[in-house]
Amino acid sequence: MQSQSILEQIEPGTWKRLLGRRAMVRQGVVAGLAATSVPMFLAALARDAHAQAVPTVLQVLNFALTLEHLEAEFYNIAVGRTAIPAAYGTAATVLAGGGASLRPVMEEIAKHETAHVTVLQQTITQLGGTPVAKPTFDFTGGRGATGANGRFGGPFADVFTNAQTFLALAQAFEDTGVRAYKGGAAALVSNVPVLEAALQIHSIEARHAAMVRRLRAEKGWVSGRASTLPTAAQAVYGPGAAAAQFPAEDNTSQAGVNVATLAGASGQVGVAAASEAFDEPLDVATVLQIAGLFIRA
Amino acid sequence: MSKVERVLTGALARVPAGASRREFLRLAGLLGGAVAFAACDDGDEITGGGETGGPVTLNFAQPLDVLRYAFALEALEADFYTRVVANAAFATAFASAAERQLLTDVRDHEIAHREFFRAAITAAGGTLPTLTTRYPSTVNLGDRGSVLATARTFEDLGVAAYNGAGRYLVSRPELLTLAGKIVSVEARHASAIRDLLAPNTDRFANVSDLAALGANEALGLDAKATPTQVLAAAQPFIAQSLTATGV
Repeated sequence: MQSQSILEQIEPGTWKRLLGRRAMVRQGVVAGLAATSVPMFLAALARDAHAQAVPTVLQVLNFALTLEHLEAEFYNIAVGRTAIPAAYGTAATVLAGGGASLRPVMEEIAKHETAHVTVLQQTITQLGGTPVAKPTFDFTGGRGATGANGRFGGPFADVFTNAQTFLALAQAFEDTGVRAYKGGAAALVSNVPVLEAALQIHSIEARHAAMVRRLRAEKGWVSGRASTLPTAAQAVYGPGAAAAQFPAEDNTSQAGVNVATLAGASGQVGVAAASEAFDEPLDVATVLQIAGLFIRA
Repeated sequence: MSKVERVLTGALARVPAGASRREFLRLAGLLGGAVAFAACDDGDEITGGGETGGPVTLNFAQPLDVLRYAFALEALEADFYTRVVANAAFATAFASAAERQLLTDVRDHEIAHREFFRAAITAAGGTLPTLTTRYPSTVNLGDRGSVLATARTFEDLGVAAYNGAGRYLVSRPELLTLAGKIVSVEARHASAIRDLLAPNTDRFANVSDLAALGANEALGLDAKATPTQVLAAAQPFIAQSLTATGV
């Protein structure tokens, strides 16, 4: 099993069919991607996104891998599987401070995000691409800048010692992840096994998101675009670069239908349920703006 | 019709309230390709013989039938939660106000999904399947454990269904994105329901119990089931015979 490719594990028999697509996919790889310098890759991806270019399958996968690296390191530091970098200047005590109930939840999420990194790395390699390297993260939200004391100095300095800060960022990452995969799905239609794997990761992220939200005494679903997240994270529920295609989470219009005015349990569905019942996608550039707060420039 | 069988919806083909002509035209445009395709294919049959209805065959080669599939699943979920919340024992079975609110929210989401698909299919000139729900005697709509176990089954099945239907929408990326907007909400429901059953454990997202529906816990991959699998799992709850073709 170990030597078997992830794609074969996901869907036995598909790898041979995929090989035929390989040359085609390779042609779609932008030259800059091979360099795998993370900031270069992110900058190029953001530029492409702004230029409205349809990202290639490999670009979407490396974009997803970047987010999974972020999530995996975040949770692995919290559960103690990854040593906390010295730049935080503290031990990771967040689970001890958040009550016994936090650990099993965070261990499960850490396990999934770590697996997602592996799945994406192997899939990218199998498609002839180069997995983007893990960036240097700064979960204090200061883009990796360190002060005279050599420590990260972003607004979330207590991220690994204060459960409320930690959970707020977890919610931001999970809800952003859900929007990011949703926004990327349409660019994967040329490769069904990869599309399906992405969809399967997407709904796992949504399970995580609901749990983290409920741990913060929020509803498991996104209601409107107001949130209890810190100001710096409000963009998580806002509109994307092209608001018509990537509306904010308070959107109630789907395919031209005003869902709020459809027949509900009594009267109409209403604005709240219409917003909650549909999660909205987000574009690559906007997701990278959000994630960029936590990546060393 | 047996005692446990109930009419799921009344006038399934009625024009949705609030659907303006502009909305109709936009939807017709959205689904235009599917309509044209369906119109010239005799195999596209959603038969309905009044309240009892005939067998339901869904052809997954046609995007409009993928929407009918979604409508059927959402209608089943909406019917279930509507009955749960309206049940005389609701307030006593669910003593926690937070749990009652959660289930009421889920009911309203499923109704929103059902009504959206009703509007979309109707506006595209499609017909809606006539479905009659039935609940096995093992399901007790007034019992917390039974309700939550059934809800978990429905939500996980919904996630598996949408994830497995993506491959039938690759020619219609806008419909793929639309399905994506809904599947993550179903996954949020599944997470919350599973947490009510086993609070603050790994169960909210541990999908090792969904391996038969295509989940892979070790790889962090959620359920993904074929239409045939999904319809077989839904069949005990729907009186009409359900069949998937073109898969």
